[in-house]
Amino acid sequence: MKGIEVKNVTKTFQDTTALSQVSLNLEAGKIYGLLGRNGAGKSTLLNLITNRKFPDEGTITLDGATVAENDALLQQVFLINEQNLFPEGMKVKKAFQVTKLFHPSFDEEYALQLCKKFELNTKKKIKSLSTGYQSIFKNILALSVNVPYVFFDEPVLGLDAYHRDLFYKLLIEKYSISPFTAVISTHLIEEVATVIENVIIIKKGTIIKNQSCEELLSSGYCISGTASQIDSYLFSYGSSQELIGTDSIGGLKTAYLLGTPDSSAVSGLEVSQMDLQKLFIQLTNS
Amino acid sequence: MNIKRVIHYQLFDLGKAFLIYYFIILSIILLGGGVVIISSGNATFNGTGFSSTVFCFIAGLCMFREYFYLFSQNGVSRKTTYIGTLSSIALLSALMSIIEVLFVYLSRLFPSDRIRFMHFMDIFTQVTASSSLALQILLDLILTFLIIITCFSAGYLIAVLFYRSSKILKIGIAAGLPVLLFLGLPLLAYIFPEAAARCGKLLMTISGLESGNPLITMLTLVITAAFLNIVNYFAVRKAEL
Repeated sequence: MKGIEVKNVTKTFQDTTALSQVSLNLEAGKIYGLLGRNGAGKSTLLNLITNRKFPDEGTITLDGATVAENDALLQQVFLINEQNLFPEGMKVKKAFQVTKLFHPSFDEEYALQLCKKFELNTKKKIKSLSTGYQSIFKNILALSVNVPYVFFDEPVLGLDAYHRDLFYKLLIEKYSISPFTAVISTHLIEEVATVIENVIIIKKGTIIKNQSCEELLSSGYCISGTASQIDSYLFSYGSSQELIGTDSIGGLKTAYLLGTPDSSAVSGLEVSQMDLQKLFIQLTNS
Repeated sequence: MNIKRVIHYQLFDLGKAFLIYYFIILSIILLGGGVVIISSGNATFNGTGFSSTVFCFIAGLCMFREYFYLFSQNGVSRKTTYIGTLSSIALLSALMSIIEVLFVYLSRLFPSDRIRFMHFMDIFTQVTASSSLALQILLDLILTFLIIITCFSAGYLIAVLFYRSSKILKIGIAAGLPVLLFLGLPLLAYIFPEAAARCGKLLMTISGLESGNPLITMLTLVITAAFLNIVNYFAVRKAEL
């Protein structure tokens, strides 16, 4: 299994361990959701993969070769995040030309088409764009660059609902025409759940879940009832499932579990499947 | 392949600044020369070489952060950024040294001896007096090239060190360096005059000014530029975004 392999990577900033012995594999041609709470280590992981920062320990390889300081491999990855790394005074059109210089596969015509769809004025300087339009500009770059691995760190920051919807549609459209590996790091889990194939959840610098979205969602259940009913259920059958959280309101209680409940055991209780956001909240709720 | 792209981008980007700089220099020279021709006075133009070194130092200061960010966004490794930048600096230094020397020697083609350009090689009067024009031009070219590339490298190094420094160190560099240069060193020279004299003599020797031998100057500049760029390499390779 090749693709991007992250092995036992650790990164510390002064007295904060951002990532601790993180290992994962990003296969070619898949859309990943990289989820985590604030400060979990998502951005650090993406920065390490794309050679913007150096890991203290561990290795990051692409098809078996180390990514760090390897121009040929770095040309195959592209990261956009909240940082604008283009000169402030540079205009949008010029930024496309510069990207084309370094990435010959960059489709400038497609980028200009996207600018029309998003109503982005290419004659404007990047620094004069609003937060939302800066995100749009970077998203257009990422969608037009045509490299095998594209990383989107908070791609919908500042985007209104229409533009967010448009972005997801264009991403899927692009992916269906020429599949590439996309890693989307976002806090808008409900929206991205329909787009991603695989989910990676980071909690306090370690990966707690790394599996297909379908698999994860199929294992998450909410069981609701009176407090005594739920407590009784958990006592009798709780060991066959993993309890990840509970909620109580008045005399009613909800248990969040991983694993398929025994249908006979839950009679009289309300059973539903957890959506990705709820699952994420319960998994990362310490 | 990326090295060529880095050089291509930097040369085009810096080209504008260089055009503006030389436009200003040329304007000053034409204006001054015009005044001399109209009047009956004489003029000596000096400082064009020095102003070029200051310009290159400042260009070096500006060359790191913006390009490092841009190249990192576009999948260029630090090693390639460094090699590309060093190559750009070398090319620009070569171009500038040709322009500087051209200014000086073309002006001698003018029949008027009322306008004279001073330049770096004028310091070495013994050499300029006794050597052929071709040798003078060659020595001038090499000396100017080495001075300019050293200034570029010094500016670049300060920018990289500043970038990589912690907040406290940044204050130390920004405030401490000028204080050291303009207050600290003169104060030390006043308190320890003999040591200052010895340092001065050493500087005069290694700069070739005492012996009047430009080859010593060139050797010192080569060592200085090499040292600066070696330190640059180690500083750039560990820079993080």
